[in-house]
Parts: sequence; structure tokens; C-alpha cells
Amino acid sequence: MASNDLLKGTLKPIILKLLTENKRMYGYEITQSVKELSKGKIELTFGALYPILHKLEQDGAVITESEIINNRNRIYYSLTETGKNTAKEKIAELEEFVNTLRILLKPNYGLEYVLAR
Amino acid sequence: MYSLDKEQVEIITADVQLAGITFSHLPDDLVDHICCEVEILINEGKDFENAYKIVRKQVGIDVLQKIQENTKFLIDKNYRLMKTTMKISGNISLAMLGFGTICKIMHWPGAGILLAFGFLVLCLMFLPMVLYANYKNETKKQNLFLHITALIGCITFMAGVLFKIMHWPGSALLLMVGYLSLLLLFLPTLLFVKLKSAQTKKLKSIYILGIVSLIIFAFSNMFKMFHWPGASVLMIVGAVLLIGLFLPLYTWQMFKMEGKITGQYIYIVTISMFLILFTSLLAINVSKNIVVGFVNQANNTEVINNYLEKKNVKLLSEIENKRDTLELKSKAISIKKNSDELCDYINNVQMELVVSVDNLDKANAKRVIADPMCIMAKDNWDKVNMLMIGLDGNGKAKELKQKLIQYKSNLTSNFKENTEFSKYLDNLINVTDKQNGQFTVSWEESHFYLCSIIRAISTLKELQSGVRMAESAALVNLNNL
Amino acid sequence: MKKLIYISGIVSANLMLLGSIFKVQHWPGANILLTLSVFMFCFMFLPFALLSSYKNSSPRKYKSLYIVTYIVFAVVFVGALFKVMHWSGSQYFLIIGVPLPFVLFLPVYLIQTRKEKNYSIVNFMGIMFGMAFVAVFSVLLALNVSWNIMKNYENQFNYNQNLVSNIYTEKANDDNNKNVMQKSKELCAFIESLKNQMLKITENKPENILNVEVNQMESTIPSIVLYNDDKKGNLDELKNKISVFKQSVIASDNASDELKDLSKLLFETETSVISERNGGEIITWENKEFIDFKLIIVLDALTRLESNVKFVENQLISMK
Repeated sequence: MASNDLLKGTLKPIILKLLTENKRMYGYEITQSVKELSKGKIELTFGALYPILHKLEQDGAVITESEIINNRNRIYYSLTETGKNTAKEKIAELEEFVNTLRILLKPNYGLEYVLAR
Repeated sequence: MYSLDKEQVEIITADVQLAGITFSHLPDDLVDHICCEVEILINEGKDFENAYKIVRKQVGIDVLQKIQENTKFLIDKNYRLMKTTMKISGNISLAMLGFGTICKIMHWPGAGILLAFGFLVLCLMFLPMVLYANYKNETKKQNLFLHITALIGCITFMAGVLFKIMHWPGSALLLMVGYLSLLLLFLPTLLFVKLKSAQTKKLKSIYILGIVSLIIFAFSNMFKMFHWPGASVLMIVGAVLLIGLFLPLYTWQMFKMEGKITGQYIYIVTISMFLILFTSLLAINVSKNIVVGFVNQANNTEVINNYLEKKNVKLLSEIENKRDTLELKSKAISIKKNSDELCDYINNVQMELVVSVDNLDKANAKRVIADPMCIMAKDNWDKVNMLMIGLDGNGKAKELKQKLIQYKSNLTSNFKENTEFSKYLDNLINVTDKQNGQFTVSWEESHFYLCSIIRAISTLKELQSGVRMAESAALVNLNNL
Repeated sequence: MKKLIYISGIVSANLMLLGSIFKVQHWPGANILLTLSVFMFCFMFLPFALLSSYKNSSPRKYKSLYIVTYIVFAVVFVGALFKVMHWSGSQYFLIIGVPLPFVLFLPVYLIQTRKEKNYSIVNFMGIMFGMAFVAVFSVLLALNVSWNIMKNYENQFNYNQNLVSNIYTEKANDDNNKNVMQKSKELCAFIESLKNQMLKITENKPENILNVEVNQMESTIPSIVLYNDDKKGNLDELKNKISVFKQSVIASDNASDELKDLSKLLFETETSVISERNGGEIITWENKEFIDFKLIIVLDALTRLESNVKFVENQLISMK
């Protein structure tokens, strides 16, 4: 299970990525799919989720529509045009970051460096 | 796949409302989320009650509020700014108040300024911010009234306390207005709002009880502050209701609902302990102003002593000039010498008292004794106890008593046949023990036990006065022989 | 265990309440109740409740905050107990106990929760209001002195009363000083009548009045008697009579210069003093003598005045 410190800052891109792949999602669905895709290794608590969703909505990256399902209002979130652009940027940013991390964390980085010479 | 029916959804919605979640479509988000989690558990074979209980353990009211708080924090710039200002202003004002209190207690300079600024920041920055922040969380209309009354009441009350501390005029009016707006506007409105949100009858009655007893208790405080009759009865009724009834009921409710010790519970018990303790401490205390009465007495006695001293010098010189009997002259001189010695001794005792209480050097001590208003800790009594009575009862007072008795017997030996004089002397310098019921209270104890330094100084000056008067009477008697 | 904590919380609060009521009403047993309650609070409720709360919190954070909270509040309550009981060492309560929440608890609390963005606004407000409350009460306490000081007043009152009734009694018929004696008699009679009026309204004998604390601090009766009695203004009449007496002493041929100076000092009622301590507040004679018009203080001041009058009169008569 990934620690909170590591997750910080990666949640927003993760949510955006999910939204690009699915047309529209509701909150619970997002937490569940993160759990499933990461095989339970990353848990997106709903305490962290909703503030980010609202922030995205305020920034104009997502829009909401509400639908009555099973006696209650369900709020669906979907990306706007600007949101799609933001998503691309953020996802690319994260990917690059992950690649950099991978290089940094390679076990015998020093040895390879010497051999390459 | 099981889905919740209307009633079950309503239960969950009500709980989310109770937590005060009102921001945008956040309530819908949260209700839906909780419903989904509950449905999953029900599908695993649990019934609704148990399933909801499990979810609520993870998602309590505080968690829900935190989510709203975080959402607002992320979104609203003003809100963020305000919250930071609130924190900073709150800390600054409290630090100032705290240091002001310390300065006031230690008689350091600057206490007034610190307290005034502390209260100012508290009233004009912190309180409005807090209430605004709180108000933003609410949406209902009547709650605006609640916040305005709270703001006005708190500000006038705090200003009243500040005015009282600084001895500015008008504190009574401010305190009165503050108290009344808190008591008659804020608390009933709070009750009204709370009653609307309460779900069960039991919770309703607990709220009513708590706020009514709070009103009674605050009224009793107000009565006490203005010295109106009936304060103590009100105080007892209010306190008994608050501590004896509300607290156990509240505890019971907490116990049933949470099942664990929360910080909130510790906070409530600690604050109510503070409330009682401070109120009772204040009740057994009186305003510091009244020590001035002892200063008046000390100054008055000092003036008379100065007069008597001059007069006695004059009397002595009269005797020396008029009489040529050596015996009378030497008697007069020895009387004068005895009195001077005793008065000097008493002066030294005063010096020692002042030196030990205020940590002064000798020169300053002399100045302070001449003007007792300058004594810093006028109400200190335990240093007086230590010095005058001591741990084993062998303090200065005992020595002083011996010297007084010695002085009296020296004087009366001059006028053996004059019983009137010795009677006068006994009235003037009375060192006999007092009979108080079955107990005998010694002269030392009745004069110096639990005696504030300022009264002790004034008592010693009174003794000097007695000595001088006795000397004067003795010299007049000698002159008439 | 949790039940025990809840129960000990309620019991100690109730014991404290009972003890306070007993203490204020001067019933016996107050001290035992208060001691028991404070010890129960400090050594049962507070440590166990904090421990339980700490263990329940996940993840376990703020260890030092819990420890500091315990130390601070235990010290404050034990100190307050010392103060209430008048045990020796209580003066350290004010020096250590009062600043402790501000210099120890508050900084630790702020530092510990500084990084916590999620920290609820309600908790913050609660702590802040609690601390403001403690500050206000501490300042009020610092401005007050123990009720015990009223015993000192009784002492002083008795001394002055003794002077009036036992010491300055010799009344030789002295034709030379008829004027002064006449004025003194009038003044003393007037003072006595004022004192009697006040005592009559409270319907208590002097020896009783001094034992009832409420009466001692009563301030309406003295202001009624001194200001509004038949709209005549007894206070003005009193000041008038004092200055008449003073003039008669100064005008007397028999009085020595020292005595004249003395009576000028003792019976100065007109000049007001500008106090430097209270920021230039003007203090008149009546404000200085009859502080807040508290009954015991007014009675004491009047008696002192009477004793001064009789003293000066006595000195004058004894002059040859």
C-alpha cells in the first residue's frame, strides 16, 4: 500500500486519467476503480477525492450532472474540453516524473554509468 | 444487487445534514457515496442497521466536516486568507493577554498596554473572523441573527472586562449590555437553532437543560458582579443544573453514541471544572481597590505619629526647663528614651516586612514605609505570617509583645499610685489574648495571622501611635506632679 | 475502563461543585470535598482520559501535546487548590499556574497542529475561546484579593472604635475652648447619626454587620445615606461641618502651631489628588476615603474621622 506522502500530488492526474477513459463517473465509482486497477495498493479515500473533484469543477476542468438513482441524487463528473487538455498535460507530467524516478532508483545506476563510458 | 429504499436514504441524508454539510453539491456526493458503501455491505449479507453502523465508524460526523472544510479550503481563496488571519490574530491576542496577565500579576510595567491590545485584537479581528468563518458554513437564515448577537455580545463583554481591568469609566454599562445581549438574545437563539436540529426528544431536553442552566449561571455571575441580591441562590441553582444534571446526561449520551473517549469530552469536563473553580475563587475574593482603605489608615496614623513625636519633644524640653528636680528630669528622659527605642524597633519590623515582601533595599524600604501606597504586593499575607508568627509561633510578634509589656511596666512603675493611668495604658496598648467562644486567640494571632502586609504596617503604626500617646500622657503626668 | 473514566469525570466535577458551594457558604467539609475532587480529576480522570483518547487516535500523533496537556492542567488545578485552601506556597500558584497554559500549552498545541491542514475549525475555536476565558478570569483574579482581608477591616474598625469609645473620653469642662468643643460635639453627633442611619437600614447591630459578608460589601445603603437622604446631601453637610471644625481649631488661641498643622492635614476635604497610577484620574476626598461606597469601608472611614476629631479636641483641651 502506497503511503500518503507519496500519493500527494499524484491523485489529481490519476483522477483526470480515469475521467478521460470513461465518459462520466460518480465519486464512489472513481474510488472503486482506483482500488481495482491498483489491486488495492492505492486507496483513494473519499476524504481526499471530493475536495479535488470540487476544485477541478471550479477550475472548469469537469462539469457535473445529477441524476436520481436508487432514491438519491447521484452526481456524475465528466471532462470538459479544457479539462481534456489539462488531463493530457497532467498525465504527461506525471509520466515524465515517474520515468525520472525510475532512472534515479535503478539499483546499479553508478555501475552502468561507468560501463557506458 | 440490493439498493436502499427511500427511508434508509433519508436516515443517511439527515445524518449528513446534522454534520452541517451544506457546501454546493457536496451533500449529494457524500450521501451517494455512503449509500454505495452501505449497499456493498448489505450485499455481503448484513442488515441495514449493522452495515450503516460499520460505515459510520469510518465516516463519522467529524470526518464529513473535515471533507467540507478541505473542499472549502481548496476552493475559496478568501476563506483560506481569512482562516490564516484568524489563526494568527487569535494567537497574537492570546499571547498578549497571557503576557499581560503575567505582567499584571508580577507588577511589571506594560501590563495595561498588552492587555488592551490583546483585547483589541481579540474583539476587532479574531471574533469577527471566527463568526464569519462559522457563518459561511451555515446557510439557514435565522443563523445570521445568532452570529450577529454572538458578535455584539462577545465584543461588548470583552470591552467591559478590559474597561474594568483598566479602571476606565463605563465598564459597568458595557458589561451589562454584553451580558444581556448574550443572555437574552444569543443563548435563546442558540437554543432555538439547536432544537430545530435535534432529532430525538432526549437530545432536545438535554439541549434545553444545558442552555437554561447556562443562562441561570451567567445571570448569577452578572448579579455577583453588580452586587445584586440573590446571586448566590442563582449560582447554586445554575451550577447544580449545569454540573449535576446536564453533564451526566451529556456524558451518557456521548457514551452511547461514541463509545470512546473523545477530546471534546475531556475539553468539556476540564472547562466546566475551570468554570466552577474560578467562580468560587472569585466569590471568595474582593476587589483590590479596598486595600486603599488600609493605606488611608496608615497615612492617617503616620500624620498623628509625627505630631505626637514633635509634641513629646516639646513636652520633654518643657520639663527640663521648668523643673529642677534631677529625679523628675531623669525619669522624663528615660521615658523618652524607652519610647524612642520601642518606636525604632517597630520601625525596623516594618522595614523587615517591606524588604521581605517587595525585595527592596533599606533606603527604598524607608521611603515605602512613609508612603505605604508604594507597596507592590499590598495583599501579601504569607510573608507577614512567616516573619511575624513564624512556623513555631516564635516570630517577631512575640518579641514585639514582650517589648510592649516591658514598656508598659516601665511606664507604670513611675506612677505606682495612679491606677487611672495604668487603666488608660491598658486600653491604649492592649496586648491581652482574646476569648472567642471556647478558643483563645492570642494577641499575636489576632493581629498578624492572615494579615495582609498593608494592614500589618498600619497595625504597627497604630502601636507606635499608642506608644507615643502613652509617652505623652506620662510626660504630662510628670509635669503635673 | 471507559465507564470508569466517564464516571470519574462526572464525580470529580460534581464534588468540585459541592465543595465550591460549601466553601462559599462557609459550611464545614468544603476542604475535604475540594481536595478529593481535584485529586480525582488530576490523578484519575485526566491521565486516563488522555491516555484512552491517545490510544484511540489513529495514527497516534501529538504524543508531547498529550503529555503537556496533562502536566499543565494538573499543575493549574493543584495550584488553584492550594490557593483556595490558603496552604502555604499558594503564591507560587499565581506565578507558575497562571502563565503555564500560555507559555507551555499554547505553543506546544500550536506547533503540533501547525502542519495539520485538516485540523477542524471548531476545535481551534474551542481551544481559543477556552484560553481566552482562562485569561479573562486570571486577570480578574489578579485584580482581586482574598476575602480574608475583610477580617483585617474588622480589625481596623475595632481599633478606631476603641479609640473613640475608650481612649478619647476625658471631657473636662473647659471654658476656653467652648467653641471648638461645641463644633466637635456637633460633628461627632452628625457622624454618629450617619452611621446609625446606615446600620438602621440594614437592621443589624454593629457587631453583627461586620460578620455578614454581603452587608460588608453593600454599597447602595451608604450612597443613599450620604447622597440622597431627603435630597439634602449629607455628604456636603459632613464636609461643611468638618471644615467648620477645622476653622474653629485654627482660629483657637489655645492651639499650638503643631496642632493647627495637624488639623489642616487631617481635615483636608476639598483638594483632589491627581493619581499618576491610574492614568491621571482625579481622586476626590470622598472617592479616596469611601472607596466604592462599600459599607464597611464607609463605616471605618467615618469612625476614623470621628477619632481624629476627638483626638484633636483632646489635644486642645490638654494644652495649658
